[in-house]
Amino acid sequence: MTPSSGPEPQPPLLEMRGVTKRFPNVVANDAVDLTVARGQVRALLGENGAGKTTLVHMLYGLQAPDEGAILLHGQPTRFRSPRDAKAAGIGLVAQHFHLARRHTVAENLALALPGTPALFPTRALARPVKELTERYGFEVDLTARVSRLSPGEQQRVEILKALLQGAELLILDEPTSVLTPQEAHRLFAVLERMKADGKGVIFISHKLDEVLAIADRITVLRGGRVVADEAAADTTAAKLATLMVGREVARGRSEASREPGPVRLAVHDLSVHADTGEARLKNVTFHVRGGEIVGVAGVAGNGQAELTQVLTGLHAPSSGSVHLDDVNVAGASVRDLFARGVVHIPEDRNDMGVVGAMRVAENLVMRRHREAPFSKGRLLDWRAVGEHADGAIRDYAIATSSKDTVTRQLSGGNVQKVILARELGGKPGLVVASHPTYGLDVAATELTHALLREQRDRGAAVLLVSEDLDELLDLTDRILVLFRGEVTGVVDARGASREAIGLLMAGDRSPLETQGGSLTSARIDPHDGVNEVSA
Amino acid sequence: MTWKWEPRGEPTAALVWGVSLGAVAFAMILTGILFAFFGVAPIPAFVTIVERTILDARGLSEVVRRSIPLMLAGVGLTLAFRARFWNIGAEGQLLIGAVAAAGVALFSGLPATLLLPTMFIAGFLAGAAWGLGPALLKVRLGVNEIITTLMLNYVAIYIVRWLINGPWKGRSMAGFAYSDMFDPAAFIPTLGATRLHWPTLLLAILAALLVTWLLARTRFGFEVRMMGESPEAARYAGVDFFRTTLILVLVSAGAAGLAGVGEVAGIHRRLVDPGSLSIGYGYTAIIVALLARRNPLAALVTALFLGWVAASGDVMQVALRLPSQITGVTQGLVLLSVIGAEPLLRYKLVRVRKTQPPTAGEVA
Repeated sequence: MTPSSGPEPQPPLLEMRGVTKRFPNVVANDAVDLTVARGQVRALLGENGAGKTTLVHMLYGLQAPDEGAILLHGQPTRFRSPRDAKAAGIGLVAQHFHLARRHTVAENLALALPGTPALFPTRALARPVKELTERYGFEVDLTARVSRLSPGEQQRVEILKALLQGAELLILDEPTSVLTPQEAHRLFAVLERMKADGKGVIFISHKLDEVLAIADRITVLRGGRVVADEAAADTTAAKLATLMVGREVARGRSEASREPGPVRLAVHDLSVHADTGEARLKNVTFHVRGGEIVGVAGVAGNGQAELTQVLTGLHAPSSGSVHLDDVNVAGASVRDLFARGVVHIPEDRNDMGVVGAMRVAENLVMRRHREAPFSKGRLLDWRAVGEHADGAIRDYAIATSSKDTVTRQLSGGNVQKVILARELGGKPGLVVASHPTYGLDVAATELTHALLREQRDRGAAVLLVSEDLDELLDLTDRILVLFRGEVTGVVDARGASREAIGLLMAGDRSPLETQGGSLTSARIDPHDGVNEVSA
Repeated sequence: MTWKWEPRGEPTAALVWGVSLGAVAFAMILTGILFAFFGVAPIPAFVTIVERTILDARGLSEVVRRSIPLMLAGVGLTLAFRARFWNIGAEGQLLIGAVAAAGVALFSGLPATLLLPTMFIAGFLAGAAWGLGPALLKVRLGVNEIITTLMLNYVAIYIVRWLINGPWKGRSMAGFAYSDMFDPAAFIPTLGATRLHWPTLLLAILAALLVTWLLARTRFGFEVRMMGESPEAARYAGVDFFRTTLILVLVSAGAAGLAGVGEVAGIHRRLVDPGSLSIGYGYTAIIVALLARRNPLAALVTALFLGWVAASGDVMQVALRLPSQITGVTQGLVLLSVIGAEPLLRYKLVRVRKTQPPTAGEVA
C-alpha cells in the first residue's frame, strides 16, 4: 500500500470541489471535497443516508450538482448523462449488476461498447478482452450465459465492461457484499493491478476491515459532509467507526445470560427442489435450541434463501422433517407457522417485509392482522391498529412523521424497525432472520443485534442468515455453513476463524479434517451429525 | 435556463384531483381541435353539447342512464384492479349477465314480484361465473388474466348472437334478430318518461359503498390491497391467494353482470344484438376505474363523466353531424391524457440556473 502524499506535479485524476446537492427537505451532499489521484484507491465510508449514493450519481452523470465543481484531469467537467461520464473515463460497478441475464458474457460486453460492428459483434471483442483479462489476471468465460455465473463472476464481467469502455476511474459500490472472502481477495488483487496501471478507484463499503486493507485514502461522509479524509495507514477501524456514527461503537461478542434450553427447531434430512427440479437443499440436518443463536453462513445462492423459505412456510420441502417443539411442521403454511410462533425477518425487507404503499400502522400489524385485538370477526379494528402503532413507534423509536405515513417514505433502518417491532413484539418461539442488518447504518445494526440477543435471552431459538462474517462471529453460538445446498460444516462461533469458515463456504471441508493445525478452531457440534468427509 | 424533472413525495389528494382534472381538460381541448378538423367550430360545439346534455333535463337523464352500467362495471373493476387482477372482461361479464337476466325473464315463469330480484341475482351469478374461469386459471396455473378475460368477451358476444339468431329468436320479431319482448313485470322501472332505470342506479351507488367498506374495513379488503401492492409481502403475510382472488373476481365480475341486467331489462327489455346491448361499456369501465385511481366512490364520479362523453356522442352525431366514432376517440384521448399525466404525480418540473461548467464533450 502506498499512501499518496506530497505535492503532485500533475492535477489529480478526479477532484470534487465544494459539491453540494440538495433535495426537498435534505442536503444530500454539503460542500463535499474529494480527490482521487492516479494509482490510488479512495475509500468512501458512511452510513446509509450519509450521501454516498448521491455523490456517485453526480460522478456518473445521473444527477447534476447544485453547486461546486467536478474536475477531471484538472478540467472542469459536467456530465449530463452516464454516457458523458463513460466517455470521460468513469466506470461504475453498481451493487446490483446491470447485465442481460439471458445473454452471454460476450454479448453483454458487445452491448456495452460503442462502435461494435452490427454483424457478429462478439468477434471483434476477443482480442481486447484477452488483453485485459491477461493484464488483470481474471478468468472470464465469454461464451457463458450471465444467468449461470456466480455473483463474483458477474462482478468481474461488470469490471471488464467498465475497463473496455476505457474507464480511468472505477467506482465500486459495495463490491464485496456478494463475494466469499476468497473472491474478495481476488478482487483486491485486480484492484492492485489497476493501481499499478495508474487507474483510480473509488471503493464504497460498510466493512471497515476491508477498507483498511485495500484503500490508500479514506473519506468518511456523515450527514452529507466530509468528516474525515485520512491516509489508511494513519487510522484504525475503531476510529473510522466512530467518525461514521459520531460516537464509539461497541464491537465484540456478548454471551448468552444462561445455558441454552431444549431443542426448539430440529431439521432432519431436509431437501428442497426448485420449480425447475434442481436440488437447492440436500439432506440438511441441524437443530437450534431455545436461548441460542445459530448462524447460517454461505455465499449468496447456496441454499440460504430456500432454508428460510421452508422454515417460514413460503416453500414446501421435497423430503425430510422440520420439528418445531416436537411437532413436525414440514410443509405447513405461512399462517400456521406464524401462529406457532415462527417469525421471519425477511431478506427483501422492502418488497416482502413491508408493503411500501401502505401506511406504517398497517405494516405494523400486517401478519398479525388476523389476531385480536386487530381483527374482530372479519372486520379490522383500526383504533386498535392505531394504538398499537403509537406504542411500536414509541418503543422502537421509528422515525416517521406519523403512523399514517406511507411506509416507502421511511429510510431502510426505519423500515427494518417496523418489521422488527411487528415480528418480535409477539414473543416468538423461533426467529428466522435473513440478512437483518444488510444495508443498515451502524445505529440500526446495533439495535437489530440487541433485539436478536434479547430474543435469545428470553429463550427463543434464533436462526440468523448473514453474509457478514463479523456479524455471525459476534452474535451467534454456532455457525452452519452451506455450500451448494449442503451443510459443509457446523462450527462453534467462539474462536472460529474467518479462514476456516471461508473455506467451508467454498465447499472445502479441510478445516473439519485438519487436526491440530491452525484451523482446528472449527468444531463440530455432536448433535448435528455432520457427515464425515471422505477425502 | 433549463428545465428538469425532480421526484416529489407522496402525491396529495389535491394534486391527484388537480392532475386528473387537468388531464381531462387537456383531452377536451384535443377533442375541440378534432372538431375543427371536421369544420365544426369547437366552442359553439361544446356549448351545444352542454346545453343538450347538462342544461336539459332529458339530456341529463341520458347522461345518468349511460353512466349506470359504467358505474356498476367500473366499481367492480376498482376492486379487481386494487388486487392487480387486470380484468379486461367486464364487457363479456356484462353481456352474460344480460343473457342470464333475459333467460329468467323469458322462460322462468316466476311470479311478478320475484321476477326482477331473480333476474338481478341471476345476472350477478352469471357475470361472476364468467370471471371464474380466468380467476382459476390465474391462481392455479399462472395464466395471464388479461388474455383470458379479453378473449371471453368474444365468446360472450357470439353466445348472445347465437341466442338471438337461434334458440331465443323471438317469434313476434318478424325476422329481426331479437328475443321476444319481456313481460312488463321484468321491466326495471324508469324515472318518468326517461330511460333512467333508477333501481339500477341505486344498486350502483350501493355497490360503490359496499366495495369501499370492503376495502377499508374488512380483513378481506386489507388482504386484497396487500396482494395488489406487493404480492411478495402478501405471501409472507399468509394471504390465501386462491380464496381472496376468487372472491374479489366474483364480486368484480358479478357487478359487471348487474350492469348487463340493467341494460337488458332497463333499456332494451329484450335480448338484442351485443353491439346495441352494450356500446363498449365494459371497456369504458376500465377508463372509469383507472381515472378514479381505483377508488370505488370516485368511480361514481368518473362514470358520470364518461357517461357524459357517451351522451355527448349522441348529441355530436345528431346535432353536429360528426361521425359516431367521435365518442371512442374522445374516450381514447381521455385515457391517454390521464396515463400521460401520471408522471406529474411523482415528479415536478423545476427550473435550474445554467451556471455549471461546460460538459465533458465540450472540454475534450
